[in-house]
Amino acid sequence: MKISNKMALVFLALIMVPFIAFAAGKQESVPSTGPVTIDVWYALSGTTGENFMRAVSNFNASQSDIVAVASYSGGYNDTATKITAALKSNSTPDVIIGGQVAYTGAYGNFYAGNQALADPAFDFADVFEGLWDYSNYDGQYCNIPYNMSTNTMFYNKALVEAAGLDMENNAPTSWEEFMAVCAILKDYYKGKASFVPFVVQDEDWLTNTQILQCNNPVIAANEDFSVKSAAWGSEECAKVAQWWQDMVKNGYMVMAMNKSGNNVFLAGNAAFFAGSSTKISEWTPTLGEDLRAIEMPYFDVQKVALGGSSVAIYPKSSERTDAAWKFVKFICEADENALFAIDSGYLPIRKSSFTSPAVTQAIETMPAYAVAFKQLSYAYAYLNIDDYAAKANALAKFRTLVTEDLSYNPLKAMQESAEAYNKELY
Amino acid sequence: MTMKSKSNHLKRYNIPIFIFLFIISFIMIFPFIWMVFSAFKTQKEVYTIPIRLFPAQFNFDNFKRVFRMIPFGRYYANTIITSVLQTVIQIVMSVCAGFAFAKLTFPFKRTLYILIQSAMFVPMSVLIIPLYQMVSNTKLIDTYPGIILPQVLGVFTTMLLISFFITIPEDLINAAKIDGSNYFGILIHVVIPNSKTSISAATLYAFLSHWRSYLWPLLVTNKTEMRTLAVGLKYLVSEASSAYQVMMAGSLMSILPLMIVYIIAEKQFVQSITLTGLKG
Repeated sequence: MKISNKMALVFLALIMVPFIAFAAGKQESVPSTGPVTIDVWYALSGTTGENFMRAVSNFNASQSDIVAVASYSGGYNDTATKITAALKSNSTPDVIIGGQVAYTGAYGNFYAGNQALADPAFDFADVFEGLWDYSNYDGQYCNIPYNMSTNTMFYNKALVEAAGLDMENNAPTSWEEFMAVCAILKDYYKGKASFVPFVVQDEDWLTNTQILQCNNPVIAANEDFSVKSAAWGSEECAKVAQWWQDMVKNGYMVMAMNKSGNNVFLAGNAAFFAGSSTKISEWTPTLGEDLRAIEMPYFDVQKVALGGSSVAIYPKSSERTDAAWKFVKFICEADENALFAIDSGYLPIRKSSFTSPAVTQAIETMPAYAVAFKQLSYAYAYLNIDDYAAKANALAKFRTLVTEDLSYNPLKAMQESAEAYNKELY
Repeated sequence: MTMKSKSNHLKRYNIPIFIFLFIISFIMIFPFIWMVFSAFKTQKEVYTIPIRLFPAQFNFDNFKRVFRMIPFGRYYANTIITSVLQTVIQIVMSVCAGFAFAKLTFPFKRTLYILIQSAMFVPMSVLIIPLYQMVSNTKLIDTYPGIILPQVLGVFTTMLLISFFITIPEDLINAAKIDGSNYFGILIHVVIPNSKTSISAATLYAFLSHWRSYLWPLLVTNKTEMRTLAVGLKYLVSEASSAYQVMMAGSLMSILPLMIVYIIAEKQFVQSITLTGLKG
């Protein structure tokens, strides 16, 4: 019996020893006189992550005073969870690529934005204006745009040309013209049961684009930003709901197919696809020359909604914060940023990138990239909010109303959707 | 074999049921077959219409790409270390707790039982931030204990074992007591030998859930050398990416040890699943 007790104790000790050893072995880092090490989290995976790591390597090779140690932090949502946890326990990294203003501006951290304005070497004015809106929280810049993309209308050249359409010389500019193109495609491919003229996987992004095109700000705020309410419940936005309803009613779009829109388009079962410009680098290996794009059709004003994320800095000691700013300046420098952007399908943030040899070559060799890049001049962001899920749910509500009941009043749907958002928040 | 004996041989099977089960089995196994062949395809082949199951030629570029993009071996080792240790500790704790709740009498037993049971209904997402704070404050970020310790409290496996231990006859326990065994002796010599099947079911469940664990290892590790396979697999593809073939190659390599373990211990696993009604 005594032996059994001893055995139990020995067994427990065996289990605990490695943990105690690990815990005891982990010591506080001793300040050294060597290079400053900064921790960088990045929410970029796959080839985009590889491209970012190349920029990190370039930075580390360009000088010997700072070492940037980069660590993948998961997708945007995972990064949000990770940063929330880190903020609560005061263990944030120095820099985050894939940062959202909800985790800087909302916490009163405007360091990166202030530095961009204060440091003449950064050249604030060289960054596209619309991109700065994306990094603005309640009237102040808190992050720096980095991996940005525009909502782009892609098409499959082979499918479209087979139907006798010429998108290079006669592309639809309005949504009305776009529907006419869809009608031709539907008629031409009527024997192909799996075919649909248009798909969109990120329905929310397209909706934001369309609301902006109605000269509507999407989100309206009072003077001190204490109330940020849905603005899309107005009459001018009814045409957005009308468009979704008409597209479904005429069979130009099937809502169920949107859920796997990427695959539908890649498999050649859709002629048009609305989505991120990052698809250019991602899909070129599959579609090759057939992957083309037209400028996004519009309602009243030519606008597209921006997508992507930004660079956030979490100030620590002055030494580390200075090092973090140097790193951010390096990766946002025109040529370095252009290299990252082109290889990953994102868009350069700087106007001066347009003259960079890499961008010039990309525009010449990838027609879709030229379109996405051109759209930057009329790409906008709506006011940043704290609860994006509530907005997405509210916008999904109007789409469901008008596409499930094809006689539903579009204006009423928009109003109900806006009310749902405002009710949830206030 | 004569015609008559052939006919008798077939009669032993219920042909319609046999065909039905074959179809269902095929449907269930098809995604796995698809994964295996897709791992050898090019991106273009993955999206070819009409769909083709087999690649035009077996190319190993996707596997090379996986090794180029992530330190696969290191992730593999980390996953094995963390999953095995987590499983061992979880099962030891669950067996001890299960035995205590099923066979011992102690103050507040009922209250504690309800508390443990209710912990099963608390989603991980609610616990993540406080757990992270604890791990961060104890300086366990980027360590194996940081990954392992917060995940070893397996309420489900404890409940599963309690429900099985209750069925062990009291006479066996009393006989061991008469023979001079203390509680630890009863656990080791009576309870565990009589519960091998349910313990192996709990072990299988625990190991699989630790092997697939993604969010917690991602949260508590920043250094690449501390990452696990689930995090690495996520890194292989971009958000809403279409490079399935690389993901499939990574997934295929990551499930190989599980398959080997399953093939070796197939009989016991099937027995334990039949006995406990557990699904993987």
